[in-house]
Formats: sequence, structure tokens, C-alpha cells
Amino acid sequence: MRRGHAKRKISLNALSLLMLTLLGLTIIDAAQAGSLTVGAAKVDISSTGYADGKPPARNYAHEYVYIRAIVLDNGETKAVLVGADLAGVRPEDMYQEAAATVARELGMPVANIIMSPSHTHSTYPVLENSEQVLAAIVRAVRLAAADMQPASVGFGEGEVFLNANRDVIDYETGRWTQDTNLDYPSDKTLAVMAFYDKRGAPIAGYLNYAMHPVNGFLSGFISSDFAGAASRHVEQAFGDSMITIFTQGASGDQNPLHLRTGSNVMAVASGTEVTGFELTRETVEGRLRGDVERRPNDPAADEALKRWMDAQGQVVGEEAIRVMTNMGRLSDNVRIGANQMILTCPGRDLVERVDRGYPGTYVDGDDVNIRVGFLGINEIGLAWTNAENYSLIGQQAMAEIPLAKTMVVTKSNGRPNSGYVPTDDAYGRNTFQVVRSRLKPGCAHAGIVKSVTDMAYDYIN
Amino acid sequence: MKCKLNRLLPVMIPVLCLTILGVAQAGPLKVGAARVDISADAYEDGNPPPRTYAHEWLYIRAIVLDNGETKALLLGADLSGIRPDEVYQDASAQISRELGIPVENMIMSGTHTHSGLRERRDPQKMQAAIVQAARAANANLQPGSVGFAEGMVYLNVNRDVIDAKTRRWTQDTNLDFPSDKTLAVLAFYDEQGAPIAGYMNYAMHPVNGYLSGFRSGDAPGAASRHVEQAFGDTMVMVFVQGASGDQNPLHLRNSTNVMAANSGVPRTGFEMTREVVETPLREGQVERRQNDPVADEALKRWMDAQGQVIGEEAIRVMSHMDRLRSDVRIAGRQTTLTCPGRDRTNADTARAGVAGSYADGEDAKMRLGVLGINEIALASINAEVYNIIGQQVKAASPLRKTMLVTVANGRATSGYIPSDDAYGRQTFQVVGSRLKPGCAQTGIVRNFTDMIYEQIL
Repeated sequence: MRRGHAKRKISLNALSLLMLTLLGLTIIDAAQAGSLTVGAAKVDISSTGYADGKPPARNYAHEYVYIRAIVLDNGETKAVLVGADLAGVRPEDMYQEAAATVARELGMPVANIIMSPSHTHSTYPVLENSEQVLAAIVRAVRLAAADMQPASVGFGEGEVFLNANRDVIDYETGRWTQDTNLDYPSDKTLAVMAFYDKRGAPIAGYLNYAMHPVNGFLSGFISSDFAGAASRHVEQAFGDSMITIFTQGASGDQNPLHLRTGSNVMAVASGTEVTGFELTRETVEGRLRGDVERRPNDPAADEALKRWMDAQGQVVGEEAIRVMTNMGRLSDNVRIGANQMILTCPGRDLVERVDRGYPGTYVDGDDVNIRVGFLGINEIGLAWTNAENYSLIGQQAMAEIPLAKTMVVTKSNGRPNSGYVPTDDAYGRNTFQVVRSRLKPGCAHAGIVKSVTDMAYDYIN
Repeated sequence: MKCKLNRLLPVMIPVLCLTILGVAQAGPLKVGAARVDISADAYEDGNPPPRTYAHEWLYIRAIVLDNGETKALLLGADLSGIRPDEVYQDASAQISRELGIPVENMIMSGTHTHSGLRERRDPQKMQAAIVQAARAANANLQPGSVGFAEGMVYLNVNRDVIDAKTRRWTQDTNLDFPSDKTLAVLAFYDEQGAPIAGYMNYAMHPVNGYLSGFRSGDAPGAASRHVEQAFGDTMVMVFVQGASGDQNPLHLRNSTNVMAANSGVPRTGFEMTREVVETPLREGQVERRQNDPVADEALKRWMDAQGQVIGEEAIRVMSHMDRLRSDVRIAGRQTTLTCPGRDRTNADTARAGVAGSYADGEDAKMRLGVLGINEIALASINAEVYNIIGQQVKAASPLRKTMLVTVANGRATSGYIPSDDAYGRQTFQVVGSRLKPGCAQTGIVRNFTDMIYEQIL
């Protein structure tokens, strides 16, 4: 269910569009399609999160951290999909080096690579900015490339009702804050692209859902959050014979609806009373972000949070398996095409740091550069940006792109100098995402939608 | 008291009645709650095996309300139902006698778990546990306030569908048919604002553990325990079924895997067609194999996950509940709805997927009740009702804070209660229903609406 998305604005009339699209696909498929082979692998990087390289005893699958890779090859060209249980595949230099290495080793264009994190907030900073991550990415791709087999691909969508918009006016302070807003846009779509072997067993899955993995933020323990739990749930359901990558949709303004157990862990750490009810997260989190002395974790609160992460992962994972079970129209002769570009928008700099809920004042800043791209696999479109887009931008991109089987993968392929990418209508909100965004309004929202749509049309035609 | 409605004053008069009756009969609310562990009764030798998940314990929970003028009882059991009907009748009569609670002010319901007590359960033990829970709750009365609010949970789905292969009606996911996602929550708080008890209503058949071979309160039991444990086990959370006659969990894969393990069907990791796996096991057509601990663990973990999702939404709703009232009016009423019955004459041909043939049968009788707590209406029925009927009951009620509690207060002679438009479906609920079409759906909606107008307003 996509709420509040824009109507399509396509200059071609419906009939001619359909005909042109079909004609284009047919001609191009005949020219460039080839037999699909797919390989997949994952690399455990959990130990890099601990100073002594020795993770403590762990009970939940999401307490492990992985880099996953899927390699596609149609005989003409290749594509690589990398997923990481990290906040980001960053810094930018690391992404560029990893992408260049993979492209060189596999003999493929960088544009055909999507490297994205799950955006978990409970693996950084210890698991980022490291040579180990770069090495693990390259190793995962090598392993996947060494495991190629004939395959088919399909795409389906389900729904998961765990996320909620997080831009809202606090009813007590009257100021913008981060909390549940059930009236603002929130896309419940779980998009699933899956690859199957010749016997119909899954080789790999590629999930896309828009929800910030902030359950474990400031928790003090390492976890890949619900996203990692979802990946592992699907993988384990198939006896660990396949891999599943979780990617973020347009989640710049999307949080989990239920953050109670995460807030309770913060409350323990900051000395705030735990009541059993939902606590106002910003109040609890603000104390911990501030200068309060951190107290020891409460094992009971930690356990409740880890169990909740696992539950959310199961819900996402079960819906993914349901979609994978009922997926129709698989293709084993596929066309692969991709493009990427830099979208440049006017930038701004905050004159001085302001508390959340208060408006910022700005001076002109350096231009903002956002990397956007499109990877087509037959009738399936993967539109991507390296930024954190608001939900409505993702919904509008999916509405504009003429391929019905499209997902928007965010946080992909490096890190822009934009900060969050709000919708233009959100600039009146004094949320931290908006106030701290380096983007002036009026450029990125429409620019991203247009860029990925243009690239999709180029791919089709 | 009846409030005769004038066409010109349909709103003003009920409000006036409420006000007048509120002044006349309201009193300071006291609330007590208790929980009795009945897990041992689920095992032949009375010794439950080692258990890991909270939903592997079974309870009877009770909430007693007292406003000084009258009392009410809300009782929930981790059971398929409180049945046979005699158990309900005897237990309600005993509680009424001992605690002074009018029978029409009681709602005793099962969560409808399909993996609760063993089939040959002892009715006397069950009755004793029910009475024990009510007594304990009554002994815990303390000043309280009450509120009602709704959330949403997206775990259920309609289960009447035409099989894609056989083109016959079967039980499987139908995303296009009615399915109410509402989680209604009635909650009671003490004078410091801490919860004394909750009463949550959601429409989803707890069939995860059906034919699993182990005992569990399923998602409802997990949800109740999740909320109770979130508050340090200082309160009691009752789960009651909404109109779930045609509502299953959307995701039954783990459950079907357990059935597959028990019947020797290879598991694939994907969803399997449940009816294909379930039928041979249900009908005893295959020799039952030993459970696979890995499959059992996956199912129990999934039950726990569903319970957490429901429980977290209930807590969210309870956290933001407003307009709490500590001075309340309590009014209950029951009636019996009688509809023409039918007896199936070709039950030996197929459980579902074929047309039924019928002879006239004895009338079907359904026990309906309403319990009003100020502006909150709890409608109850002792049968399994199709979802759209429940939605219509809520839409027709003049009180927005209305929930329909099913599988409550004994057991009707109707079997399932399909909506009239569902009689063309050859699902087992419809084919096996003892109700002729054209009576129950409208009768239920009308009777509840009338009782709410006449007894509560």
C-alpha cells in the first residue's frame, strides 16, 4: 500500500506508451538478452566489531553481522548487488575503491554495481571505516562470482505494517519532533526480487523495505537489527542454502512504529524510569545523546529488545517468503542494463547548531552532489540513490518509472554531502532531518524522481 | 430502560439518557484481576515438560469490576472455548451466587487456541479454575479507571478462497475478502496510572499450533504474556477473539512445516499448500511421525513473534489512552437468537469444496450479550462469526467504542455463522454450518444494536 503517491506524469498516452514499451523491450531483449547465471555468498564480519576480535556469546541471529553479495551474468554483461549489515557503505572513498576493485576483477561497469547497507544503527562506528569491510566486500563478491549457476529471476511485492512516519509535532511542546505520525506518508510495500536455481530452489533474495533500523541505537550492543534478523530468518528457513540481502527503501522519515523496547534500553542507560508503557523517545534519547553518564545495561531490557528485533525480522522474513513462494513470471533469459549520474543541487550551511524542533538559519553552501542510478534486469527496475530520501520521493519515483516492478534502494553506492533529502513540502518541519539537511528546497525532490525516471526510460528504449 | 427515539432527535435523546442514567447509576469503579495457571491440566500426568516460551503456559484470567451498584466479570481462557455449554452455565451460576455478579454481566471467553488443553479435558477442573480466577480477581479489587482505544495489527487474513489448481473452495489466504485489522483494547488503571488489567480483541484464528502435538496458548497467549511481562507481571491481560470465523494468520508456513514433519511431507522452505498437508494428518490417513524439534522451535518462535506484535500494539494503545473514567455505569443483558437450522446429509463426501445437501434440522440457538461500561459496549456471542458481521455490528452500534467478543459464554448449536453472501462458498465453515441462510447475520446485528440502545443508552 503506497499512501499519498503522486499520479503519473507521462507525456505519452497510455496506448502508445504500452506499445512502445513492449516494442522496445522485445527488440532489445532479442538483441542483448542472454541466459542468466547467478552466484551468491556472504561473509561474517561480526568479529571486526570487537576490539579483541572476540564477539561475546550471542543468542540471536541478528547479533551476527554480514556482508552479502549477489553476482548476475547474462553472458553479455554482469551486475553485482552487495548488501551490508552496516549503517552505510562509507566513507565515499571506501565505496569507490570497493566498486573499482569489483568492476576490475569481474570485468564489468561500475554502473552495474549496487552496494547498499541495511542502515542498522547498532553496528557503527566500530564496524565502519575499516579495511576489513572493504576486504569483506571484495571477498563476498569473489565468492559469489565463483559460485555461478543457471538461474531465473522474479519480482513480487508484499506488505509489512511495521513502519511509521516519524515527523510529528509534539503535543506537549508544540514543536516538531521525531515520533509516530500515523497521518503522514508511509509506504508499507515489501518488494522482493528473487533468484531461483533450475529446480526452483532459491539462490538469493533481495528485499526492499523502508524503515530505519534504529531499535538498537545507543543500545551499547552490536546488532544488525530487524533487517539482519529478516535476512537470517529467510536464509535459515531455506537451510542456509541461499542468501538474502535487505535494502532500505525511502526511509528518511520512516521509523519502526514500536520503539518501546529500544527506548527502554536507552532509559536504563540514562537512568530514566522504565514504566512498561511507551516512553517519549526523544526525551529518553536526548538525555543519552547529551552528557548524562551512561549506566550499565540491564540484561532483561537488552533481552526484550533483541527478542523484539527478532520478531520484526520474522514478520519481514515471513512476508518475503510468502512473496517468493507465490512469485510468477520468472525469466531465465535476461537483459541487464544500468546507468548512473550525479545530481547537483544548491547547498546551504547552518549558521549555528540548533536544538531539534527549532528552525535553522543558513548561508549559501557548497553544491550538493547526489549519486543516482538505475539497474534494469528485464522488466525489473532497481532505482537507487546514495542518500536518505523521504518516503514520498520513493513513492513518486516508483509511480513515475514505467516499470511496475520497481524498487527504490537508498543509501547505495557511497555517501553524498546532502544529509537527508526531504520532500519540498517538508521544509516547514523543524525536524532534525530537515533542519540539518544541506539541501536547499526545490531541487533534489523533483531531481531525483526525474533522474531515475529518465534513466529507466533510457533503459527501456 | 428504553429510550424511544424521535426522528428529529436521534442524537439528543440518547445523550440525554446517558446523562440521566449516568447520574442515577454510576459509581466509583473498583477493579480486580487475577490469573490462574492451568498448564498442568493440559497433560495427562499433570506434569508439563520443560518449556521455553511464555505461550507454552496456559492460563485462565479474570477481571472483576465493581461500581458499588453492580459487578461485572470479564474472563478469558487459553482454551479453544469454554465448553461444553454446561461448563459455562455451571461456572457462571456459581460465580453469580458466590460473588454477586449477575450472569448477564459476565463475559467468559476462550482465546480459541487450537493447541490448548487436550481433548478429553476435565470439565470440573476447568470450572474450578474459572471460579478460582474469578474469586482471586474479586479479592483484589482496588480503585481504578477505565478507557478504550483501538490500534491496528496486520497479521490476519481472510481464509475463504478458491484453490488456484482445483478451482474449488478451500481454506487459504484471500487478500481480497474482508479482514478487520482492528485491535481493540479496554484497559483499567490504578490511581497512580499503572495498569491493573487489559482486555484486547482481535480477529484471528489461533491455528498455528493445530495438530502440532504440543500445548500452547498460541499468538493470543504470547500476546497476553508479552504485555503482562512488559509491566513486570503486575497486571493481567486478557485476549478475546473478534469476528474470526473466516480469519486465519496470514503466515502459516511454520505451522504447516510442523504438520509436514509429522506426516512425512518434505519441507521446501517455501509456503506449502496447507490443506494438502493438513488433511491427511487431520483425517488420520497417515501415520503420525515424531515431531522435529527444529520445526517445533521455528513455530514456537513465530508464535512468540506474533504475540509480540500484538502485545506491542496493545501497549502503544494503552500508552496513549485518554478520557479515562473512574466513575462508571455498568449494565449487562443477554438474549437468545433463534434461527432455522439444517443438518448436512452428505457430510461423508467431503469436508469442503463440494456443495452440501441438507435436511431441515432443529433450530439453532445463539447466546448474545451486551455489557456496557459507560460509553464502552462489549457485545458477545457464543459462536464463531464471519468477519463482515463483526464489522457490521460495530458500524451499527451507536457507541464508537464497541468490540465484538466471540466464542464467549458457552457454545451455540449453530456451528460457524457465515455472512449471507458467503453461503455460495463451499468452505468447511459454510458447508458445515447448521444455520440456514437469511437469519443469523441480520439477527445478530439487529439484536446487538437493539440491546445497546435499550440497555446501555
